[in-house]
Amino acid sequence: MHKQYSAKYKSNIVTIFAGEFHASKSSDIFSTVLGSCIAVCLYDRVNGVRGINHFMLPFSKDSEGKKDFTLRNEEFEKRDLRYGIASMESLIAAVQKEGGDRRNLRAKVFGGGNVISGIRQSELSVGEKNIGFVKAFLRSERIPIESENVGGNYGRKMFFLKNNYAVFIKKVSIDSAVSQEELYFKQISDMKSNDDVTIF
Amino acid sequence: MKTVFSVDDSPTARASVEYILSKAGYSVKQADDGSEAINLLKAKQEDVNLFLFDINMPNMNGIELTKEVRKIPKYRFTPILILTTESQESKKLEGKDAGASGWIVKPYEPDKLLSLINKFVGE
Repeated sequence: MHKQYSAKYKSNIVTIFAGEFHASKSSDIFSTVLGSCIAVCLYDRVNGVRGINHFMLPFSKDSEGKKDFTLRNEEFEKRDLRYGIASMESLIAAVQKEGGDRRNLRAKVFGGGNVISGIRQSELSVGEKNIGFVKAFLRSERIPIESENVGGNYGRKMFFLKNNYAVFIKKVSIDSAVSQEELYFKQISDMKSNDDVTIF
Repeated sequence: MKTVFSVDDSPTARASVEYILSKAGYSVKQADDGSEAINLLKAKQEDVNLFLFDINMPNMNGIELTKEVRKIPKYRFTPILILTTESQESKKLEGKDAGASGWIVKPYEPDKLLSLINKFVGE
């Protein structure tokens, strides 16, 4: 995560990267760049809390081709799935910790672009699977999606404002989003189990 | 059949726990926040072999719930595991002081969750 004042926008801009999330009551602009990854903007208008995450969800080979992804099935056993769920749970928890009330939560969903080059072509339509996952997750959590801008053959640079909880999207070359995602792919493949168990 | 009582405000997290534990032969009871759970426990005094509590929940959080459960004589020594995205040592200490038996940070491996639960209540 990176925070910098922008004279142009007269605001701090908090930029998050793949695998990160952030929440606050501040008026900072939240920003991220997406290729096939997903960012969820989560907010509680009543309490003035916002959060954003950025995740890439690698599916198991068994589930390739399944567009109607459901959360109530054997996918729970697939270790890969946990990154998306963990990211969403962490985001919801962060928004609640900042004073957000789960019952007021609304979401805007972005990303899931179809990337043609490199690892994506051989991997699957990662973007579609991400979109399927996040919609299933939010449905399961009963969090309404107020707007979305997903899919397409382009990357997105997005800005999430406190003012009216608006999100502005700038289409970017998919290549500019690819480098970050490739780094994240590598982090995932290198990732060891992060189980932290403590017995008192 | 051993019974695990899972309390989490996330339907996805509850469904995940239910799927993993029921497949392993546990009976799973659920509540979606601390106050609902404590009311159920006080009213019914059902047999529970282990509790799994999330931390960040509306109405009553997992730490407060742990304290309240420990006040019920029947559950004074029943294992309580905290299953949460929180990982700060200070939070863990709060959990320990409240009476929790263990702490698991999400995301977790289903096998590790099962193995820990078996350690507490397994044959």
